[in-house]
Amino acid sequence: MRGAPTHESRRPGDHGAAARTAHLVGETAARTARLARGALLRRLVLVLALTAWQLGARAHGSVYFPPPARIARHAYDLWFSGPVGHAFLTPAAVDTILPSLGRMAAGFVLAAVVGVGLGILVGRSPRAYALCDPVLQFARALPPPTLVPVFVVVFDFGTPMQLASIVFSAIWPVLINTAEGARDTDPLRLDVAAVLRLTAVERLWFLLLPSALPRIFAGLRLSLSLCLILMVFSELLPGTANGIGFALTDAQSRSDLLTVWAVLVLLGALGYLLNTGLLAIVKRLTGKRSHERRSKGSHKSSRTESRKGRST
Amino acid sequence: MNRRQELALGALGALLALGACEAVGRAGIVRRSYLPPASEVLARAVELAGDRTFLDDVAVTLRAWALGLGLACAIAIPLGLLLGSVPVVDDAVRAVIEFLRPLPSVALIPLVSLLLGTGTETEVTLITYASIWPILFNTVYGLGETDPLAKDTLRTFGFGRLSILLRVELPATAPFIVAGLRISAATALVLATATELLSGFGQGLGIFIAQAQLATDGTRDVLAGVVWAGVLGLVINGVLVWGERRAFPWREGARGTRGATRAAWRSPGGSGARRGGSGGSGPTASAAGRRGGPDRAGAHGPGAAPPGGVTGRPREHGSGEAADGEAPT
Repeated sequence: MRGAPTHESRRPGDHGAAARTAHLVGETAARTARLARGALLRRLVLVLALTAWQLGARAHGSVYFPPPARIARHAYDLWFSGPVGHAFLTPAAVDTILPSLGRMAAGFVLAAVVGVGLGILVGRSPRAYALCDPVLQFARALPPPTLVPVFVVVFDFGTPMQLASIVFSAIWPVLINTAEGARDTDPLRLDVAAVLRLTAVERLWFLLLPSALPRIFAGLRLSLSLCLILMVFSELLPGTANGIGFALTDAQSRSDLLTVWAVLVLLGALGYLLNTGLLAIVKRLTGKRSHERRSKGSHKSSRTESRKGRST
Repeated sequence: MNRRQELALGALGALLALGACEAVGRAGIVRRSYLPPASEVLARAVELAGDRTFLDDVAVTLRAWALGLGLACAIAIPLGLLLGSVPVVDDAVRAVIEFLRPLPSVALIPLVSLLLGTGTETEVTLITYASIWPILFNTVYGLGETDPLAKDTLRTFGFGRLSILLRVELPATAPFIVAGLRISAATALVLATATELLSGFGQGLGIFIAQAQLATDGTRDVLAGVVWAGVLGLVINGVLVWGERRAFPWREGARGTRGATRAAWRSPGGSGARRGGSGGSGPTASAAGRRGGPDRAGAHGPGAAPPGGVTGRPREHGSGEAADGEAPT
């Protein structure tokens, strides 16, 4: 997470150009070596940790900490030993994982679309922003789980309640970030857009969205993790009939620790995949631009360049 | 638009939102006992502020929150400093961390309550676990952003590894750590209420809400509890933002206007006089480092770069937690 931007943002100062090049070459070589060593070390340590856990758990025979091999085996038996036609999913998996994922995806998409739309509207005008700011701050400061009991009463048990909980908690980061991103649009460029008589749609597409994009994605990532949390939390409450969280409480009430661990591993894997997936999408969509924006030192020029690159 | 107009508009917005809630409550779209109007909820919330048992509940939640957050700091800051300054350890532990982090912490509630029972230990453990990550990642990220020139300068003067860490890197990383702490504080509150809501008995704000939910006509109490939870979140965030501004005034540059930035950025260290002339990088940089400013521009003379771009603001980079993107200004 660190490393890459440092040598870029470091200014040459009074170093000579040659010395700088030599320094860079050395740094690159050193970094490659470090990366190789790092990758090796990481795997080694992970394998060692898992082995230690396995051996320790077997020696101890504790019910609470089953050995990882058994957890993996159990997860496989529970969910992934189905027929090829069902993509190896067992009926239990279809009952557990798919409804959860469906609710989460629906909640996330809804929160993202509404959040970005409202965020652009709010961020467009300073008045609207000032009007909504306190309410938005309060809504965001609410710990989302506390609202779930309210939704339990207002909506039906099951999917409507869960969807409402997910959307209501995930929407604020997107909304606030989008509004701030849209508000930060360079006023000079808005003036240029006015001179060029761009229509509202063109202004949105060529100006507001691109300049808000990095912030929007930052908000989306926060929302995604909130979605996952709320998905699990809303399913942990009594009154749900299916889903990953339900499997978790069910196993808890039966003191079936092996299943509890298996669900945790599944959720960890899901969280990892979702986050990595969103990151990959972000990289594809923003690519160079977000990176340039990051080195705000040459703020304006880089942004203008990236705009040029986009319109050609 | 000046500050007063902004405040007036904000108050108007809050009133409008309240009015909307009131209207929805009174219009009878949903049963009145399901969703009472805003005025009743607010009246109940005010009433609760004088209620001894409710205040005890809030105190219990806040104590667990503070304990968990304190523990998370005690673990995450030293660990982050270690990971950020010793690459081998970073490489070794990174895989384990990446393995643990994506787990949604709420999912751990059933396991930890099976292990520790439903009590304060469970709550504090879960809060600690969830709050470690933002602080840890921000610490590591902040260390990577330390001015290398300041470090090199101290090294040239013969300072050891540890004193460089304490004199340059820790002060330069402090703004990042506090930004992480602010994110963690919100997460900790989420975990505190979530754990209490699920455990259902004992004391705490979440438990108050959970029990009110079971009572007939209890939505009013639930919502009043929710209002207080929101107020807690707002106050905590506000205090931390205020503290951040007080402690690290130069960071405001990342947000404020350019002109104001420069003034704010020069005043605290008082090293403006030394900085004059031909950008003497050595002493200025070390002064900046010691002062605790992630003040890279200072090393290259005044006006070399707009200070807004180089202040220690955690930018979204790598992990979501390292992003301060959600932060209000």
